[in-house]
Amino acid sequence: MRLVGAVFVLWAAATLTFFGLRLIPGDPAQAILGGPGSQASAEALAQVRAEYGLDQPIGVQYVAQLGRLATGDLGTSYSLKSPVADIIGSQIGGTLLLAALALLVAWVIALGLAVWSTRGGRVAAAVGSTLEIVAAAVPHFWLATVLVLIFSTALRWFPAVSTAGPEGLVLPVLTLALPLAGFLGQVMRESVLNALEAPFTLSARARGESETGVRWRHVLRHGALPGVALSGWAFGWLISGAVVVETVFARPGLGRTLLNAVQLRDVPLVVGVVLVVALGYVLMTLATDAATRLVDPRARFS
Amino acid sequence: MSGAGRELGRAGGAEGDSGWAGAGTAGSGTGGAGGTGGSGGSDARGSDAAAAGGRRGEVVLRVEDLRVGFGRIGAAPVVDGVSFELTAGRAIAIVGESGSGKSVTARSLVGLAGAGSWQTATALEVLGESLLEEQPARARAGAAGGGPGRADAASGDLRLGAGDSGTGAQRLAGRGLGLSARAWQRVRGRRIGLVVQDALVSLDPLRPIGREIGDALRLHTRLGVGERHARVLELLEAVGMPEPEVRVRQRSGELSGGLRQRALIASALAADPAVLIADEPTTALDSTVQAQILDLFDTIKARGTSLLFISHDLAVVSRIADEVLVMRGGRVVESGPIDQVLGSPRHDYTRALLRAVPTGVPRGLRLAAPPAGAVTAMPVTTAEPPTTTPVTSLPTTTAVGGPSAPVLEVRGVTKTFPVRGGPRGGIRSAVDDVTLTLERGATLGIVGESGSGKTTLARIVLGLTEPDSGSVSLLGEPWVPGAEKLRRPRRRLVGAVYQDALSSFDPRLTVGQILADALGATDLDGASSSAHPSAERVAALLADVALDPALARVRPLQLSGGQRQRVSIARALAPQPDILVCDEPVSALDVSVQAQILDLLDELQQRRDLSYLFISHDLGVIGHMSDRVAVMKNGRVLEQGATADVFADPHHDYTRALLAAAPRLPARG
Repeated sequence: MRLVGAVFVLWAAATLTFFGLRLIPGDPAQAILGGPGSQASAEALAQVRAEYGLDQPIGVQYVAQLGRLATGDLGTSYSLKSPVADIIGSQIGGTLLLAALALLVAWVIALGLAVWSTRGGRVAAAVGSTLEIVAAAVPHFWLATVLVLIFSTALRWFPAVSTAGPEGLVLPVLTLALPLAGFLGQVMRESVLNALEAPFTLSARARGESETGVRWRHVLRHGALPGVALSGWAFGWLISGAVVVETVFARPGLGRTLLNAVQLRDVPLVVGVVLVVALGYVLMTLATDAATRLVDPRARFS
Repeated sequence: MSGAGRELGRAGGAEGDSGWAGAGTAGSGTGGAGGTGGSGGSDARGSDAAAAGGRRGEVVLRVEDLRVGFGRIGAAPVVDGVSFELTAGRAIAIVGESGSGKSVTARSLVGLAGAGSWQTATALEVLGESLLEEQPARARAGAAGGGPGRADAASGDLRLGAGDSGTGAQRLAGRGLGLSARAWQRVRGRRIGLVVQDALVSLDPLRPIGREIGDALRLHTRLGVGERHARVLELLEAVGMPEPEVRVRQRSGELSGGLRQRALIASALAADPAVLIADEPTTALDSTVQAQILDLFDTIKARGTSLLFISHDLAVVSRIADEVLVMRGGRVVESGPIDQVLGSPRHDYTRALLRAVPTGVPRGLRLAAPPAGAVTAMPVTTAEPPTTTPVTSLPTTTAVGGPSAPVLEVRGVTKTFPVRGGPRGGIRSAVDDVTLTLERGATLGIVGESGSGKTTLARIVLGLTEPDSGSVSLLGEPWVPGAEKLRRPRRRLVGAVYQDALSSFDPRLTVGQILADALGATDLDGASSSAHPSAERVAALLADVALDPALARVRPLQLSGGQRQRVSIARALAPQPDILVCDEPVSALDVSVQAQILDLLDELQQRRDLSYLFISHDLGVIGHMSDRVAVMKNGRVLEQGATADVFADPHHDYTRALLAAAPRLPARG
């Protein structure tokens, strides 16, 4: 059942991308030959159209594209003239590292904020929830700019342009993680509060458990549950955020590749990246479900 | 009881957590961070004097002039001057309705009265050690109670839970008596075990019960991991848990209600406290399970643990307690040995509580005091049949009449549900070949435990669930199965009253709107033409269920449980039905409120010639309400017949077991 669903998601992603790109005005053959500024001759355009099958009806092109994808052939990039699979292979590592680190950092910040702000009294709760709302509402490009202004331009702690070393990762990861942490924190705070008032924590206190023990042994897991469930969604969200962050920090990766490919109307590359991201999203969702079942035994019975 | 309880528990800093050395404990317990500090004895069952079973007759828990409140200290206490002494191996019960302060009393004894609470007392001692002051004093207060000198010593402004947990604890745990957080942690579980209310949700659903029980050992003993595991298995065995080796790894969601309660009791008993407080430990359980849990408490008591038993149910209490305190509005209105209080109650309120128990009271007799205020006494001391006792009788007109036309006939109804991973090929019969007949003006009681299929049956009768086979006819005409279009014009004939009245209302509507809605529904069949049911009709409905017409402007959330159920009955009555399907209509109510609702249902039946399909797990309620009774188990009707016959001469083993398990007041036998 899940496999059918996953295949459907991948097919839908490929199809939407394929037709979506057709809606952008302009001639794909022109794009292949280096864009509108290249002054390509009519013969050259016709030759390219024939070579890439662009003179066929769109239905035929679509079927041919699906057929290639079904055999695992992502095709060749129009703009970079190299296999899409190779391009993605070289770019995916950086993006995955960025997303994974951002998810981890967001998790730690959100859970820490939720647990801290629910034990610090009314002021801490107000501070915590305000921070969460602000963080969740901030757009990536703005946050990136502000972080660069503070930590690169003013303090000179971290580079403004992403470099190969770990210090180059700090600002991109924070840019992605903070809004996500705000969002996750809001959800986690709710379940932390519920758990703190649940009869089973009263029961634990009646057993002689300290407040720290109650939080550590009981509340933390309940607080983390919605975070686990949302991680699949968060992954997709992080990849779309990576498009912005990789561009702002001039960091190589899938997001930036995707942006360039869309601008150049590089259909095979766009479809390839979208497919890979969709696949990652599907896998992440499956992993999330499995993790939820692992953490929450109740999910196994329902 | 001296009037002035001295002030003990004002909030403040929480320093000065000077270890609290228990009587006879080996270590002083100053070490250890947070809750992990062991308090001494190397074994929960060690020779520790604090362990269960102080000498018989020794006072293990002494409470004098306990006051508990929320908000400003001293203002509007919800527990107001409670005093009692619990001696080793005995059981005291605190009885009262919800809001009487009984649960707050219980929880304040372990400093967990709740957010923003304050507590004062002239004496509060466990095994001779005061819970009022932050010192290992062993001085006995003596008969004089807390003297002024001790009062000064204890005014050390300590905030519960502040020691190692920050200020958030105040919101959660409240300000306790003058012990530090750590000192309280050493009392909880070790000196006083607390089985909190609502066993079904009182174990962490994400953790195996073995870990939950083991926590008490981890906190209070120095046992290693292996020893703890072995001890947990022993404890599970001791509380009658089947297959402890399997269960120990299961989480509460995998256990039935009775097994969850056993696990919870095991966790409260793990560190062998001298006193076990049980707050409504049988309330959410089926009666056979309830009887087993009460047996378990008997065993625990026999092993020497003293019990403080909190309940609203006098019948349950009568089985277990040696003494009883009757609480109302935060005060103890009557106390004494159980036989004396139940046998010859002195206070009107105690008498009202006793009268309200429906078990053994025949049909047509009032349970609650008549609204007119006529003085009636129902001496429950007598062992005579209650029919001969002077009681206000409702005018009996049609109640137990001769054979009349059936208004509802259920024939061979079966309903199965698929179960994933279930044992019987993935199919569970919720209702299995059930045949019943409900006659006009009569009550058919359906009794069964959770999972017996009684609610599914109710849904089929209401035409909400389509049965797999079988049929239901209404006033001689086919009703189920059939198209909803054919049922709709006759829907008004069958009303429903559910257990959870509140969740059956739209919370945004006022009572008046809810009832107007229900009245409007009758217009659909053309019986009445007025598009807007008048306020008078709403007022008349409210009057029918003995509610103030002014309540029409109120929203259900602002009503008490009894008022909500009255509104839900009024709503069911609005379209002038012939039949009411009542699914556990009083199960969520206190016994005295329950009595009023049962009286109301009885009255309405007489006045309007209603027929009731009355579903309950409570044999006492069923016996009081029903002309005929059907006993259901696993979807089947095991036996049915006239209520008196079934109760007097049950044919089925299960019925006999149910009757034996039903707690009853001794006087009514």
